[in-house]
Amino acid sequence: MALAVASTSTAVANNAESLVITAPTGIDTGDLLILVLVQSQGGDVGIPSGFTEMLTADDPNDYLAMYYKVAVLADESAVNYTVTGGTDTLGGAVMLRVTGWSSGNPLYDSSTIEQSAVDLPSSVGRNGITVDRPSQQLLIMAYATADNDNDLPTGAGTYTVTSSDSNPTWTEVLDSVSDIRFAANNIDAAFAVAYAVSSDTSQITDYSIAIAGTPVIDTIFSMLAVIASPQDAPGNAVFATSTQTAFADPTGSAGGNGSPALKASTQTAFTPTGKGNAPTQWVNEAIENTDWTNEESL
Amino acid sequence: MANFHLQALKDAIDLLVATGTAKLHYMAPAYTPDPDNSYWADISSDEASGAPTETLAGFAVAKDTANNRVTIDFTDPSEAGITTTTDQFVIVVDTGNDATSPILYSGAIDAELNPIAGTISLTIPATGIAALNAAAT
Repeated sequence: MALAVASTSTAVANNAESLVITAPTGIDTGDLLILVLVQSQGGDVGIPSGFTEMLTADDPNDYLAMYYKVAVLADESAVNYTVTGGTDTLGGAVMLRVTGWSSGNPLYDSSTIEQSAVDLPSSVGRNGITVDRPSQQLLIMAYATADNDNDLPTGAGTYTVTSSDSNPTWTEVLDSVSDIRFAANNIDAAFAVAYAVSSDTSQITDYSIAIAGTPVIDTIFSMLAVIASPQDAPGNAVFATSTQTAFADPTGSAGGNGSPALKASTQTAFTPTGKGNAPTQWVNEAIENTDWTNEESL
Repeated sequence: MANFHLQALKDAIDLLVATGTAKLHYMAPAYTPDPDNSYWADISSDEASGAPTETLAGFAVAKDTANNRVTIDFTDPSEAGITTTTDQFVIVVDTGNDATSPILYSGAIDAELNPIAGTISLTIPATGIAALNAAAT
């Protein structure tokens, strides 16, 4: 089942400590919810329950980051989601409700970059990448600026991925250029998110977002995420038979008369030691010889 | 001419499998089968990440008298919600201890499988997965 973006919602805020984003319409259990967030806290913020970070362009500060959640029953009745952070550190969020996913982390491949002193107009993004994609995928591209001189672009233009296939059709969800300020860090920000569904499989070598305006922006973060469509994989096990080996026949003989050779044993005689005592010599006494004469018979 | 005899071969495998539970592990493509490996603990580090361990239903050893061999067969395994990459598998008799669970068989799949949150399944040939020939060469 191919992935499809069923509904979206956005939120932007100035000097906010919490950011409330409306739940995309029609959430069903099992839908994939993707949250793209820009914030200046300088670390983790309180993301809504059940979301897991899957991509950040600025680790560990997470200035521009992406999170996912597989919707549970409670999400079907959710009205909105709230991100909480430090004073004046939350700026903007985009949420996509995606159908067709099943479970686990959907991120298949990605690329991010942080670029400094970007002289607009210019395209931001990254060249020379090797981003793979499965036969069906959802591409999400986002950028966010950070400038402490209040410099802002005038908007995002063309979103492009370069590969041996043509650039897919992009749908922009948000292009905010003047709504976000992080007073806590004296930063003004612009923020845009777009997505495209594609069945192309060639490796992506570049991604870019054309940004209009004239100032030099201190820092621009951008990211490209490849969200994989579920794909089954049946295979055939290969049958194998064993090959057994018999060793050479044992040698033997039958029917032959043998002539056993005479073997003479060699014996070893151990010489015993002896001890001899002279015994007392006994001499028989002389006895008289008695001659017996038979009586005459009557 | 020398032969193993079918009943003894069958009994030998049956007795071995009776010491535990026959299980199938999918292996990473980088794994190189080595018959010298004895127990699952020897090769478990090469198991394909994210792949399921399948308890083999219908595991059967049969005498194939027509071909003078003993065949091993089991029900086609299938598991949903899997993201992994694999092109081979092993069959292990699980004794409950990886260090004493003998590896019975290692074999190939006809193609590399790359399910993405999808169903991974194997079709076992009608002949079974493997056979031990009785006749020695």
